[in-house]
Amino acid sequence: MKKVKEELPFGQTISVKGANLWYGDFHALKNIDIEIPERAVTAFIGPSGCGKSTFLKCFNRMNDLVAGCKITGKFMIGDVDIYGKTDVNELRKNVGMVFQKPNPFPMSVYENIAYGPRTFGIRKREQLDRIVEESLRGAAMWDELKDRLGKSALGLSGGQQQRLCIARALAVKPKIILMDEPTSALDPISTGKIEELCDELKTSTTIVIVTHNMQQATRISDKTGFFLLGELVEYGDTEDIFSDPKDERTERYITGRFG
Amino acid sequence: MTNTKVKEKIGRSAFTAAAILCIIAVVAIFAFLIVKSVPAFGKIGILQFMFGDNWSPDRLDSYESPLSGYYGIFTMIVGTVAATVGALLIGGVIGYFTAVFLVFFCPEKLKRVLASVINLLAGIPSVVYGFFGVVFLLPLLALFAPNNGTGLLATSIILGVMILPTVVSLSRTSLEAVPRAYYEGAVALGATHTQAVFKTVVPAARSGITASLVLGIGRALGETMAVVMVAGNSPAYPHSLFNSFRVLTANIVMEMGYAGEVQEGALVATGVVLLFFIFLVNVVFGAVSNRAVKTSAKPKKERKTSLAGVRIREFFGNIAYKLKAPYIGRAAAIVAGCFTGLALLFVVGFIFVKGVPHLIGNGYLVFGKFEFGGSRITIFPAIVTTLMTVALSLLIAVPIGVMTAIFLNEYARKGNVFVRIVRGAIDVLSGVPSIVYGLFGMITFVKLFGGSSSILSGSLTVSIMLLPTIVRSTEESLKSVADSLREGSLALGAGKMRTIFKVVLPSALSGILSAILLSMGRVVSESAPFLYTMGSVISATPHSYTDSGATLAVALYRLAGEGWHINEAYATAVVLIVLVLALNLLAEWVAARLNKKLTGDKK
Amino acid sequence: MKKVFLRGVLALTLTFGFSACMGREKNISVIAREKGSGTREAFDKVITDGNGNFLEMKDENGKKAYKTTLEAIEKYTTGDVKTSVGNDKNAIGYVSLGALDDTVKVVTVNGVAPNKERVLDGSYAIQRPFVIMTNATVTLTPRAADFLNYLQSAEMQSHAESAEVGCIYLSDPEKRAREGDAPVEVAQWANLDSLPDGEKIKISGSSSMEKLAKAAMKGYAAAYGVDGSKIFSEDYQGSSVGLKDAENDTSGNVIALSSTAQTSTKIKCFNVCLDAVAVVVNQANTLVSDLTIGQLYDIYSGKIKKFSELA
Repeated sequence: MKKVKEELPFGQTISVKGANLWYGDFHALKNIDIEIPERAVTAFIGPSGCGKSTFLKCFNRMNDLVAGCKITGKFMIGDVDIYGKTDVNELRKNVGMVFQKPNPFPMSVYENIAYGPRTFGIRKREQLDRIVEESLRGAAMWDELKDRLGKSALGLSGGQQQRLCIARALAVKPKIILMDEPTSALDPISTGKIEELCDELKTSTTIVIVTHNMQQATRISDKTGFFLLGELVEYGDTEDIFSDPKDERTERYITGRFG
Repeated sequence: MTNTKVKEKIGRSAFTAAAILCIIAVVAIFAFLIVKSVPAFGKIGILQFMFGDNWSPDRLDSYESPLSGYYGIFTMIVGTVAATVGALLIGGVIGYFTAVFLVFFCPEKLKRVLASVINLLAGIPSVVYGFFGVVFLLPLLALFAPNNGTGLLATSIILGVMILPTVVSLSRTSLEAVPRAYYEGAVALGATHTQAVFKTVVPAARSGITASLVLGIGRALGETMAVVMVAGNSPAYPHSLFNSFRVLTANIVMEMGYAGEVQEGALVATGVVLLFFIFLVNVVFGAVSNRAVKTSAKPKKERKTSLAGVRIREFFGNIAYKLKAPYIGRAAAIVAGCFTGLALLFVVGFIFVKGVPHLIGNGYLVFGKFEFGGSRITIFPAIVTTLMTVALSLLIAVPIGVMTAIFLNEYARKGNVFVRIVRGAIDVLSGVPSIVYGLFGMITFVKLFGGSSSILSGSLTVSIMLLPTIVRSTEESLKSVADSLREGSLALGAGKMRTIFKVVLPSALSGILSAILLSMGRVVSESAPFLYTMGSVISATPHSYTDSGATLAVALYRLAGEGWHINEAYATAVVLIVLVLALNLLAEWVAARLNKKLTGDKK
Repeated sequence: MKKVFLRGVLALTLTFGFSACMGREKNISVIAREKGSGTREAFDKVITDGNGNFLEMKDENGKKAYKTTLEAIEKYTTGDVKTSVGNDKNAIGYVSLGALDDTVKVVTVNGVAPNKERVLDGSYAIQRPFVIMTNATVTLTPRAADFLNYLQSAEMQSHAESAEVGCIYLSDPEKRAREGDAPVEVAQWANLDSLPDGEKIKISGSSSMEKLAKAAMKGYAAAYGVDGSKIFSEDYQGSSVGLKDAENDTSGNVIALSSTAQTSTKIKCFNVCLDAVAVVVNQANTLVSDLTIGQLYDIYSGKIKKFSELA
């Protein structure tokens, strides 16, 4: 019987110094320093292929899955060096992720949400019931789904599936949630609902969101980082970035000269 | 969480171990083939062995003294080649046209029926085909043959029907994969349906159709039981359509039981030659299809075309046009489709009509207890033997096969040398004819367990045969599970083992279960691997795995051969067909059901 | 127009070919047993053309030569031969005397019919002993030894001479012994108090001896009141397979059957009875009722291809 592990001292801030990443010979991320604040929404913007998603995946070590990927630099979450002697599963429990395309497991809604908690030892039915309800409420889906918990998650619409994935990520009570273009495949109404969610979640969770949509960044994020060709060109409060960018490249991107 | 870490380590080691076991199986078979055949090749002389046409073995020949027997297999090489060519001419041509019929000229309602019928044909055991050949085809041919019907023609017909399903299903897949745009383009230019089909779509599917023919060749080359029953088996050249001749596989199975030292080596060497042929066919096919792809990929200027070549092509093109070739093609397709459908109905119908009357009301045949020294036949022991064999062989092959597939797909780095070795090993295993497995099993497992046949030896032998299918199918199923699911699970903090067992495997389940059910069907219908490893006599119901026994297919072979109990033979054939078909249908149903469950709204 | 023409040509060819085949007298279907068969060995070693050529022999270089025609069809068991001959008007085959029934017609050889008297006095030439073999060196299990004793005893006489089995029991110690061996007396046997120990006795060998073996096994089992399938496991893959099993026996539980004399020194053996190899043809065959050994040689070596050629 697995014991429920005690909370590890993962904080809610992310601090990166001198991050470099190579895919084989390709230098994908160049010397990035960044401080991501706790309980706020931070957006990464920039044109395609500039490293935003790659950088995001460093925070929960999903890049470990890619063959030939080499990372240097210091990544601290709270006081913990996540590339040090940290248990990677524990890390991922605390740093949740929502992917671009919704990826619910081919199980029932209930099972999807219960998957995370079960992984970490929670077996009792009452406990799981409670967590499922909490998570679905947290994703504003409880009323919609409370009568179809046993049905397959694959029968939901795209927007519902994505919110289910958010609920699923919430079920393990992460300190930080990473979102990799979570609404790019969704219709405007679902997008709106998810943006509302981010607003609510940030009171308890740190959110880092990669987005192609600059308007989305202005709508929901507190801080924004602009990435170009593997470099973090500019980083600051969202208002400042969009009204008064310091770097010429930032300005050209924001005004739509390239993209 | 050290608990998880430990689990991960154990899991990884287990999967790697399974992959290593597969390699060991291949190495064992190859070692066996080499160790037993090289001395024979040496003693007899490779050229003498391969091109000598006198096969008169002396059981007493040993490696220490000069040989008194002759060991030349050339007549059998010719026999195998002739039978395979015959099978291709019949099965390949009819299969090709049937596939065309099925895809382009078949009315919708008939299509599903015909497709199912063809799948069923694939499931009929070889022994049943042989039996059908003996009781129906031979007497029919005897009407206008100078002998009793035995010979090349009978063999080609039976083999041709046996490779039909393979050729049809693969050709069909290729034809259906041709982009609709080709067809539409031709029709838009004014071509009729028939012209568009034969002039644009069919040529586009050429490589797939060729692949299906190659697979058909492989099947025909390795076929043993059906051929043994209708070919006559005299070590002579097949100089006419109707004389007794022997193929390489028959040579092995007929002399295996009592072969002396050198003779045994010569039989293994026969297996090696057979394997070499199969290998050759695959290599040639690879080269040909590569060239075809390369040629079509070259820019038009670079392709060499001689003027003579162009003229010849024009000439034949003209004739084809005048003869309205596409329409002859259509007629051929319709005829082929009818033939195939009727062939199955006929084979199965004939046996059912003859066998069911002896099944009904003869409860003793199926459920009776074996009477020692009694005169009535009961196949109940055979049923039990079959079930025991299926259980043990699956118990061995499924875990090893599934774990190897997991290793290959989930753990190994692509392109890793070890991975390539394991994949190569699996491919080799799938090309080895079943009779060679039988030989291997007889010389290793049987000897290992005290020298007498046992269900254990037979099960071990056949479980190696099942490995390639299970590994391949599982791998395909695992591949079809989207990576995003794996990422989703890992991102939630689950370890790899949990991801595999809770997310990946359940999604791949339908494919795996289908593979298992098809493997069950394979075990039930095989006989060559069991003849000398498990025993061939129906005796008392076996009590343990060390007992010998005969499976249903082997029992049918014996009953058919003896001739004393022909009615019981028919009844046994009915039971066998029903069992195999039930397994095949079950496989399809399970696959469909699970797929629905995964994608639909079911609980 | 062209299509009709082509079709017509095709139809004509088929009809012509078909009718051309129908009327001809067919070749003899020469049915032989497989090479591991004791029956075949016995037959091949006797059938000769009179000039020193036998169907199975060693040629002038000491090499093995099988003279049976390459057109022959090899069958696996006695029953198989009978079925083939019984279903084919042009067939000829050979089977054990004990297997004869009215599905096939017996042919006399050199004017002699295969019956008990003619076999015993040697005038029916195609005869062979039924041989019981065990490993020469290994010690038999108590159970196997007891059964061997049974097989050597006079209990076998009733089994051998029953209508079912129909072979000729040998009681003369000299005749029971293999050539060159010491004479083998008929043993005394009575069943012990209980079935002796040992694993299952493996009975392996000639299919011609199947009936005799089954009768013996049944009798032995009945004497102990035990179900025969608990005592024996049987396989009839041919005399050569039986010989091989006996030679390779390491556990002392193999009792093998051969329907032809064996010279191997790795086995101990004795002849339990005599059997004849009867030549059979189809019931409807009116052309053949007696054949000389020379004619049999010509037929089996392929020199004579049709029954009408027998002058």
